[in-house]
Amino acid sequence: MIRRGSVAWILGSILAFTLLLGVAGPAPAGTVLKIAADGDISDVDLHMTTHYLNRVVLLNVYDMLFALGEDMGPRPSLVDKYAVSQDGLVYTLTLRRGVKFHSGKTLDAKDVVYSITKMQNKGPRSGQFKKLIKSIEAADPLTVKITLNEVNAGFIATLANPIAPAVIYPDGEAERQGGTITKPVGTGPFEFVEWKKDSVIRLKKFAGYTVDDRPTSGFTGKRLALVDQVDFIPIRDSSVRAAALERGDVDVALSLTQQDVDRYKGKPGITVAAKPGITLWDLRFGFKKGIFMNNQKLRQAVAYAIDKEEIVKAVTFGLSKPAPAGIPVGTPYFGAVHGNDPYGKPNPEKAKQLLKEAGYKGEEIILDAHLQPSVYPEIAVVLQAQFQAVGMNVRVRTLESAALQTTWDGGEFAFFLSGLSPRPDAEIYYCQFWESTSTSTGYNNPEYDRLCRAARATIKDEERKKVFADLENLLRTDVPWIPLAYEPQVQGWRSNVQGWQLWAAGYARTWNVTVGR
Amino acid sequence: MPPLLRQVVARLIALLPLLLGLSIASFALVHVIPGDPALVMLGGEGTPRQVAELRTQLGLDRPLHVRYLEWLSRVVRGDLGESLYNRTRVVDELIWRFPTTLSLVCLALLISVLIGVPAGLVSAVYRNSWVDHVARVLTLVSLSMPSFWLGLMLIILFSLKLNLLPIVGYTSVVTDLWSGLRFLILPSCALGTYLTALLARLVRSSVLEILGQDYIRTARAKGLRERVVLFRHALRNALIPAVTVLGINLGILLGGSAVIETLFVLPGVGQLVITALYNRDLPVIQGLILYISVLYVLINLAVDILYTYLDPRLRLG
Repeated sequence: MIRRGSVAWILGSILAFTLLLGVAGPAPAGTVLKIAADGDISDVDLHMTTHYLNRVVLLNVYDMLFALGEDMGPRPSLVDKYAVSQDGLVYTLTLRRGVKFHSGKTLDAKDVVYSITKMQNKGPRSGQFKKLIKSIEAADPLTVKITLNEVNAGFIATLANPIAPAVIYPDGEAERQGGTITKPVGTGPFEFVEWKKDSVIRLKKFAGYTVDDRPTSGFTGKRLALVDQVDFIPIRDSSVRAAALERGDVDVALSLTQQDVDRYKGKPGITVAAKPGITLWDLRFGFKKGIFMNNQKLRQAVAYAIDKEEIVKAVTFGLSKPAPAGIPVGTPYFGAVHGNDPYGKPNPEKAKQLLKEAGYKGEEIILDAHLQPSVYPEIAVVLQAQFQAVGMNVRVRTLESAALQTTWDGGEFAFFLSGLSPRPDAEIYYCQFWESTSTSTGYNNPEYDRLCRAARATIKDEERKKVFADLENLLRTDVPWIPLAYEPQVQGWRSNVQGWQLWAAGYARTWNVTVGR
Repeated sequence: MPPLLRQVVARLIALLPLLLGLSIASFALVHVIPGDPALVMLGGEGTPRQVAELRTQLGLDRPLHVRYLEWLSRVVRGDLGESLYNRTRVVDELIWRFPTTLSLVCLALLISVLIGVPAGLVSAVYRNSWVDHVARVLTLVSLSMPSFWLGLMLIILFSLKLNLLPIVGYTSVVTDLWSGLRFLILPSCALGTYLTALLARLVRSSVLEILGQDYIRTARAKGLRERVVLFRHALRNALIPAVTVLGINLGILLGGSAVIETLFVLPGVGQLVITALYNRDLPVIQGLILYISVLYVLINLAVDILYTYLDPRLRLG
C-alpha cells in the first residue's frame, strides 16, 4: 500500500522550498526609479519606428532640435534660437553650446545634418523629409541652415513631431555600430545601459548632461536626472502592473485602468491619478466603398446620433471629456469655433430626419474597430446602441491591430473607429489622414485640400487660426470624420516618488523626479 | 545497427520532408493572413506613401517565392534570419529565451508528475471513498480553471497578501538559479495545475482498468504484496497513456506558454510568439514555426523510445 505520509511529505517539501526562496530576496537598491510600462520596446533607433512605447522610454535618452511643450506646441530643445528668412524658405538654427553626447562628444551642426539626412534616406518619415527639405548644411559648428522646397508653416512642428521623432545622433553613429543603431547614444539626462528583452530597459543618470536652463515644459527646458538609475519593466497585463505597484515591486505604473482610480482611492502609499488626455478617439468614414462614400447627409445623421457624453461616462467612468473639435482643447490653434460643437449634444430627431433624406433603408453597416486596447470594442458597442436608437442597423467587427490596419490601409471599410495620438501642429491633425494626397480613406474634397495647403503656406499666426477655423467648419459640414472623446491618461505611483507629473500627452518623464527608500 | 538506433535515424530522416512541407505551408499562410509588417511598424500613423516606401525598404514588395527561396537558402546554412524590427538574429532570440521556457516547463511538469500520478493512484485504490471524491472534485475544478485566472489569483495570494514571492524582476535560472526559481514557482504552479489534474484523471482511469485485468488477479493469487502489484504491474502499465499526454503537452508548452509568460513577465519563447504575431514579424514567425515543429517531432520520438522502456513488447525486433 502507498504510505499516505509520502504525499504529505512531498507537499510539505514544496511549501518549505517556496518559503525558503521567498525570504531570500535581493537587497533593496538605492536611487532606482522602477517603472512598469505596458509592453516592451521594439527598436532603439527612433528614426525607424513609430511605436509609442519606444518613444516613452527613449525620449528620456535622446533629444530633438524642437520638442513638445506642456501645451503640445513645439519649443526649442537642442536649438538655442532660430530665424526664418523673409520668404519662409530658409531656417537658420543655432544650437545650444557645449551639449554633450553620452559618448563624450560635443554636439555640433554636423550631427544635425547627419541625423536629418539619415531620416531622409530611411525610415517611415523618409518621404516626408525628402519632400520637405531641399538642403541642409552646417554653416558653422553651431549653426544649421535648412532650406525648404516650399513654404511650410508647420516645419518646426514637423521637427518636434514625436511620431518617429527627429532625434539627434552623433555624426556617423549608425555606421560605427555596423549600419544599425543598437546602442542608443543621445544627449538626454539619462543614458542607455541595457535592454533585456521582455525583462527590463535600464537607463542611468548621465554625468556629463548639459542642463537647459529654460523653464521646464513638456519634453523641453530644465530637466534634471535626480535618480541614479531608471528601470522600465514591461508588464503587459494591467492588473499585474497594478499588483506590482501595490507590492512595491515598481515605483510607477503606466497605463492603469479607470477602475484602478477607484480601487486605490484613499489607499495609503499609492496615488492613482487620471486626467483627460490629448489622444482623441474618432470615427472615420470610408470613401472608397460603402454606404457613406457619396452621402453627406448620412454622415451628418451619424454625427447627430452620437452622444459623446454617454461614451465618456460608459467607457471612461467620467474621467475624460468629449472632443468638440478635430484638434484638442488647449492646443495652440483651438479657438472659439472649435469650442462650439454642433454635435456636442445628441439630436436623435434630426438624425432620423437626415437618415430619411439620405435614403437609408435599414441596410446593415459594419463598424470596424480595434480589438485591443479593449476600450475600442467598448466604444463600438456604445455607438452601436446609439445608432440603433435612431434606426440604423450597425454590426460591430473587431480585429486585432495588424489585420485591422490592412483594412484601414486599403480603405476597405464603411466606418472605422480609431484614435489620433498627440501631434505638435493642428495641420497634422486635420490633414495627415484626410488630405486627398495622403489619405487611405479615399476622401477627396478640393476645398479641404486647399485649406490644408493654406495651413502649410500661411506663416502668420492669425491667418493660420482662421484657416483652422475654416477646416473645422468644413469638417462639421462634410463630416469625413467625427472626433468623439479624449482618452484619459491613468498612471499610478507610490508615495516614495516625488515630482512625478502626469501629462495629458501620456509618456513617462523621468527627469525632476526623486525616489525615497 | 541496433533496432532502436535504426528507428531514431529513420524518424530523423522522415523529419526533413516534413519540415520542408511545413515551411512552405507556414510561409504561405503567414502571407495570406491579413496584416502587414510595414503597417504595424508605422503603428497606424502612416500614410499610403509611407507604407509603400517602408515595404520597399523591408523588401516586402518582392514576389513571395523569391523571398521563400532566399529564406530557405539561409535556413539550410543555419541562419533563421533577423527580426524586421530590431534586427536581432532569430537564432539568438531563441537561444537566450529557451532556458526560461525550459525551466518553467520542467518545473510545471515536475509538479504535475509529483502530484498528479500519486493522486490518480490513490484515487483509484480508494475508489468511491471520500479521498476519491475529494480528488475528483479537485481535478474537475483544476481542469476548468483558466490558467491566466489561476495565475492572477496566485499573484494576489502569494505576492500581494502573503508577500512571499516577487512579481517582477526575473533573473534567468542560468545566471542565478536561486533567484530565478523564486520567479518560476507561481507560473509553474499556474501552468502545472491543468496538467496535474489531467494526469490524475488519466492515471486513475488506467489503474482502475488494469486492476480488473487477469494478470493482476494472477499476481495477487501468487501472493505478491499489494505494493508490488500496484507499482510493478498496475502503475507501470498505466503510465503509458500518461507518458503520451505528457509528451504532447511538453511539446506544446516548450513552444511557449504565451499567457503565463506574459502574465508573470517571463522573457520566454511564449512572449516572443505573441510579439512576433502581433507585429507580423515574418522572419521571427517562420523561425518559431520551424523551432516548434522540430521540437515537437523530437519529443514525440523521445516518447516512442520511452514506450519501449515501459512496455518491452513494443521494442522492434
